[in-house]
Amino acid sequence: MKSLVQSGDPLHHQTFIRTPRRRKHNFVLRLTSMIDIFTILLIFLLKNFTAEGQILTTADDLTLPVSSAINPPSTTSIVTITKEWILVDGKPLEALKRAASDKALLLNNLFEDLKAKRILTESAANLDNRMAFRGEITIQGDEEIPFEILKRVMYTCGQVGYNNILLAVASEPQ
Amino acid sequence: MPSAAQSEPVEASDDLKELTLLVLSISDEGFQIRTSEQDYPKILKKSGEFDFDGLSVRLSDLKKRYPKLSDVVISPDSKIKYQIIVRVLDSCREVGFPNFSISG
Repeated sequence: MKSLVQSGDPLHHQTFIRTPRRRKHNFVLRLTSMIDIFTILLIFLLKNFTAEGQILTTADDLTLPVSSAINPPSTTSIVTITKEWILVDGKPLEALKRAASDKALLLNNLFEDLKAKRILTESAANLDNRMAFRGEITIQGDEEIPFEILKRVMYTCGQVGYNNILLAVASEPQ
Repeated sequence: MPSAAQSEPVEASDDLKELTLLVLSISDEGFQIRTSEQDYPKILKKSGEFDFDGLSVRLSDLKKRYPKLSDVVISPDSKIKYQIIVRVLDSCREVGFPNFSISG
């Protein structure tokens, strides 16, 4: 660059130094339009956030199966089946290995926890009818889990009275 | 596809169409569909993958034959993966059987 300035060519010399410097002083931050943009962004994010609800939170070792279903998820208790654990609302209850080796169809820990949840919901229903027990539960299973495990979880849910089982899936990539 | 129902009187077959039970079993070999009237040939895996296109074709044929039927019982083997089950549910729903139950 130095050789260019010292080249003795006056035209070259001037254009090189001038243009970038002057612009700097003229620069004004246009706050009004920026606030507009950020407000729109904020509203957009807030709307997205509340619509998705709690179901968005998935564990690291969980890949939901892909499906073309488009029904939005509803807010219910969630049974999560990862490759290693069975969890209810994020609380680990049963190791998958133990659940698979067990002869009985009923998963005891899961059964006890869901029963406690049902009793809780029903006592809330006494206070307000809108909280009534509808027997809805969401199962969030890893795509790799065998039907054997799914069957046991579904059976256990059914035994407690959660007969309305929703299966959480990932939507197809467009 | 052979259809035995065509020769029967209209009213009787109409009743049948409402009462038909559709069972779809998934095994390691592929899919098999049974109704209370007849068993359909197995839809075998193609080069190690489940043949979902074949299943969709078969299901839409059944839907044409039993337009009122919307229930299907799905009975997978214990080793079948969850992803396969969900894809089968998708196929059923897309063809027009939105009410499925899963039996073990």
